[in-house]
Amino acid sequence: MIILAIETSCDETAVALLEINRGYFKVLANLVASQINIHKKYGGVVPEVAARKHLENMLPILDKALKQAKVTPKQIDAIAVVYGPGLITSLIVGVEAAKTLAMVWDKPLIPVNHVKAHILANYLKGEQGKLEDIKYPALCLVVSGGHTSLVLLNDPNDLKTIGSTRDDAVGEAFDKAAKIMGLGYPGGPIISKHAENADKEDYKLPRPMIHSKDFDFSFSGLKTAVKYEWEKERFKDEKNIRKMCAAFQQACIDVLIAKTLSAAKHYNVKAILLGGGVSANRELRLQLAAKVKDELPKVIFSQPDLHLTTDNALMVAVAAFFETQGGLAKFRDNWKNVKVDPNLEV
Amino acid sequence: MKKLILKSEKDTKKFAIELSKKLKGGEIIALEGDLGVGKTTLTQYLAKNFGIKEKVTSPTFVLMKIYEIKNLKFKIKNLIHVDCYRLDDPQELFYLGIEEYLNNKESIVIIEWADKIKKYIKAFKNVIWLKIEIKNNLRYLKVLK
Ligand SMILES: Nc1ncnc2c1ncn2[C@@H]1O[C@H](COP(=O)(O)OP(=O)(O)OP(=O)(O)O)[C@@H](O)[C@H]1O
Ligand SMILES: [Mg+2]
Repeated sequence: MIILAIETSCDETAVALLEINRGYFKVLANLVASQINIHKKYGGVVPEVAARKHLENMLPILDKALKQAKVTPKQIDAIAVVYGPGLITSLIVGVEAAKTLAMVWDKPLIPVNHVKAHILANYLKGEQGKLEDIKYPALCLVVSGGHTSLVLLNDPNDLKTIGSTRDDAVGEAFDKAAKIMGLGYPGGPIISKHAENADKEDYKLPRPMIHSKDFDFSFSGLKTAVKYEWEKERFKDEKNIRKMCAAFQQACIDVLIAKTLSAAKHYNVKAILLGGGVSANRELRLQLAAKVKDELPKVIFSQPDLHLTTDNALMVAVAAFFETQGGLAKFRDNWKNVKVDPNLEV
Repeated sequence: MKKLILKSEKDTKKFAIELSKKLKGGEIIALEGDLGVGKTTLTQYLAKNFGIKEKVTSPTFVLMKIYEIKNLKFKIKNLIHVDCYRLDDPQELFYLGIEEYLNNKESIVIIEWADKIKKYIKAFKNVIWLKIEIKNNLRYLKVLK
């Protein structure tokens, strides 16, 4: 089957076409128009600008994707769209576009949860091939600007959040720590770049909630600790910036890994997955992979392809594919029912 | 103008209890203060006093979160948690649909980084303006009307 997927939950306008037949997939198109440069100026998202940009980008990018995939509307079996969680004004643009196409072309419409899509991105390695063979139960650490959670999966459609942040998401903490040191936006890539080969032991930062019995996280205290330490620092030079970035990044990673490992042991999972924008962080990938190998050698570790860590529509297409395991019938005429849900949970 | 020292989160909690008793609905609680002074923390304690069981997390990324107050003993039905950290223009709040909750007896609107849209907020009557500052590891809270 061929799925056309649309994602506009935040900064990126994304469209993808994915073909899946008997366990094999082929990426036909995967396009993302990013607004990051526009929002850089503001250090964040501006809802009205974001919505307007999504609107401007939508038709050209749809057109380009269809051309690149050499697919006519007739060949498309279903349309998929992210309906939450996300920024309401941004979500609406994607959802309305998808509903319109589904109505005009008379296609089934599959609403997809953005967080679930990030997780199931792990099924796609490379441009084509066999869908990954993920063993269940699996545990996914979802880390991004807006989310930090541990999700337990019994199968691709049976997901349960077993822990999440009580205050700031880890991506948000990266943004704010970068801001405290005057480093600009977005904080994730900037901090990890500065942290490379820097001494991470020099500044002592806390590991919030690392020993708590639950699987929740807290990053607001870490942000405040960075602020205190940085205000005390008399020499705010490049060398110390790099040390602070390294110390901060390591503190985040330590907590993320400790909680993931203890949840994996508690639920006796067969696989550990990584998902979300912050999973592009190289140190997190390397250290988590090493720790799993070391402490849980029988557990398979999977991380999404780098270009599928940030928001994209390919992950939406694959999540939609799993939604249709019970057939397409229940998604017929669904354009009448699909509504955005900005606070959607897993 | 009232001035308090918040030595620990306990003091924040105490203040939140006092404040929630005074709220009648329709108020805007404007929170001013630098990164990490405890704006979200204060909001969490306020939410607790209204029986909100969900995790009240930082709204920085999503800009606005709506929590339903389910306990019928309260006349207030919604707690709206807004964060202007990433906003420059108050106009943006309208796109998010904040209007229906302002001056609404059934809602309390709590705004982090309120100073970023000061002029806009000052135009409303029912504003409780709270400013938190950290000096020598101590948090000072000022209640400005
Ligand atoms: N009264 C207090 N005494 C000591 N620590 C506190 C107090 N209030 C809050 N904190 C701590 O300060 C840290 C930062 O708090 P919080 O995230 O609520 O700040 P914020 O003002 O919302 O920050 P931001 O500007 O990022 O939104 C948390 O670790 C919290 O536990
Ligand atoms: Mg906050």
